[in-house]
Amino acid sequence: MIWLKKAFTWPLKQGALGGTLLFITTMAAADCNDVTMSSSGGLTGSQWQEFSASGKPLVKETGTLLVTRLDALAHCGGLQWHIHWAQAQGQRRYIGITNTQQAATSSTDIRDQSMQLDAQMPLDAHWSAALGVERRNTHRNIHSTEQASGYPERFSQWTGLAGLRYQHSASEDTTWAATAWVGRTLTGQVWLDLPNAEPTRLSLGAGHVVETSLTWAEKKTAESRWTWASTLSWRATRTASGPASALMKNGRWVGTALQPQTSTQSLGINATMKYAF
Amino acid sequence: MKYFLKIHKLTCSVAYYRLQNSNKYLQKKHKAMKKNLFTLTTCSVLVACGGGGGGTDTANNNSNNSLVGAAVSLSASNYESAAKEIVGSVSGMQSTGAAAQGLLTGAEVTPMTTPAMFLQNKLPELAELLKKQAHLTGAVTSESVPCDSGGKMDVVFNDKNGNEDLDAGDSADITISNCQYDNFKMNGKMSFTVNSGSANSNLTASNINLLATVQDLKVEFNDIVSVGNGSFIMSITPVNSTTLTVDMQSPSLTNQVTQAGKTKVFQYKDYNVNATANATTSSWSVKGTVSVPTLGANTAYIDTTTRFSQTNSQGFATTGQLMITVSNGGKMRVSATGTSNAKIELDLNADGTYEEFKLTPWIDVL
Repeated sequence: MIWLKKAFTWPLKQGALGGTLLFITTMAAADCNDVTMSSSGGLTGSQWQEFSASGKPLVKETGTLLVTRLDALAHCGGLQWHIHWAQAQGQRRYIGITNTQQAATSSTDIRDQSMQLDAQMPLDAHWSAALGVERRNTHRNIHSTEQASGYPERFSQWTGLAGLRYQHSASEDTTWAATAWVGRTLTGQVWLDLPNAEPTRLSLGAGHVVETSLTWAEKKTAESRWTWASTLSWRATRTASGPASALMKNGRWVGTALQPQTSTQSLGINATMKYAF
Repeated sequence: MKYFLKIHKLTCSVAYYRLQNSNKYLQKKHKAMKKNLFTLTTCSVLVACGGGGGGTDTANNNSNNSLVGAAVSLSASNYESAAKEIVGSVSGMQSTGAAAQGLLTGAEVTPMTTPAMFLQNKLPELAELLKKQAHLTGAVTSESVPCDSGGKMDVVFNDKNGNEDLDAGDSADITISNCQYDNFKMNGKMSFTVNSGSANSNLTASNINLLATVQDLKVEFNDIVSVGNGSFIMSITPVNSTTLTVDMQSPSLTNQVTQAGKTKVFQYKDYNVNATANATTSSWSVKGTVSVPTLGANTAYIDTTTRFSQTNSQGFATTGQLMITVSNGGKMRVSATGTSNAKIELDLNADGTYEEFKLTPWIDVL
């Protein structure tokens, strides 16, 4: 598993291109065919909510993020292998409370990066099933207000995914495909850099993911290697609160912190250009 | 009892937060109120001693034996760290330090509750509940309270005059035995006595003097072990309808914190903090002898030469000056500069001339 973890972590550190090149090289070496690469851009409406142990809403953030995405696909050994890297970046409006229970309004800078590897197995002419694994890093910087301090957080999660895909011809030139994923977070952590304590790492609770998408795509033709696609996607996650960790400062125990129950939703649309090798 | 227990299990770190939930529960309960009140108050106050302790330290009362390592001389290379530790441990005893800083929720952060914070924020509510709902059947009651994840607390409460008010002579003794909740485990003894006065729902109309003691109060949490011993007397005196003065005096308080095998001892002797605060501003002064882990067994005498004052929302003082005299030589001076930086000066040979200084963000100091 270490090589797999490194294979995921390295491109996240080095950028999408590294991951894509790694994938293509691997696919070529494995004598694969129908290799396709694609690049996408779009917008996603992003919502982030946090709840206390009693279910009381603590924070609600909403905003629109700019999405960029790279995909690579290849058929090998009867499976369609797929890797994608995506980044959503932008700001969300923050409505929440302080740790002294005062209402607060602020904003957050968001940079959400994910890399997913999955393998799809055709079940019949329309249906296919898939298994995948996703690594997601989310940088969230909460801006300070006059009344309270913000701070940066970095979330990191591994998620195992299972999916179904249905594809159908829409016309002579186009197809549409519906995809649904469900997933469970394998491990998750958040690095916290509070202004009044030494940096610390919190564990996240168990998490679940649901994701669906609807894609309308141009069929590949003999005349051109380039095709287009457009995708509408929705994703929801829920992560249980994690255990409390101690906060230290200059050797003093100054408090405790935990990541509360968190749920996210995003609804996005993007346009894609594909190139078939 | 459930919330009562939850408060205890987290006593020295999240009691303040849990109290908000506990109040709803307490409103439904009519028994053991006063006992709970005393226990809650004691626990929260003890947090001020740095994660679990303060007090009449039988082991550490008259020596520096508990301080870790040999004495380290003050130098140009360690004076900033030493000053940070001193001011940090001082601010950790009151409501002017890191615990007072407001943080936006991202993570749920629960600062250590300080005596001043607790008394100013929670005592009025608890006193009001006590007045409305306490129905004790006798002046002295005792109960063994099981903790959620194992262990128990034995509580003996004495409502000396049986009037169901929080007033002079009332006391509580709490013995904690392997009390566990989540990752917290507690052992030790605490006691709490009202010396004089009383508290009611309007703290600015209250005038109360309390004695709290801790004996080997050990809190274990993840890889941290915190042991507290000592005692202190705290007085709350209203200045006017919006302003309170909190005065805390201690002959000896000790908190030993061990994390990942490394131990730091924070010790306070003949220690006095005097703070005055209203909703928007506060001022404080402090004097006494404190330990300085960076300097090993070396200690420092601190004295406020200019009272510190601050706007509460800023979280740091804009005026004030603290003199620090290190026991085996050297002095430091920590001054507010009117900015977000503190000025830390070094007088290595204590001749009145400061050879070096550093401007350090208050956020790194408090």
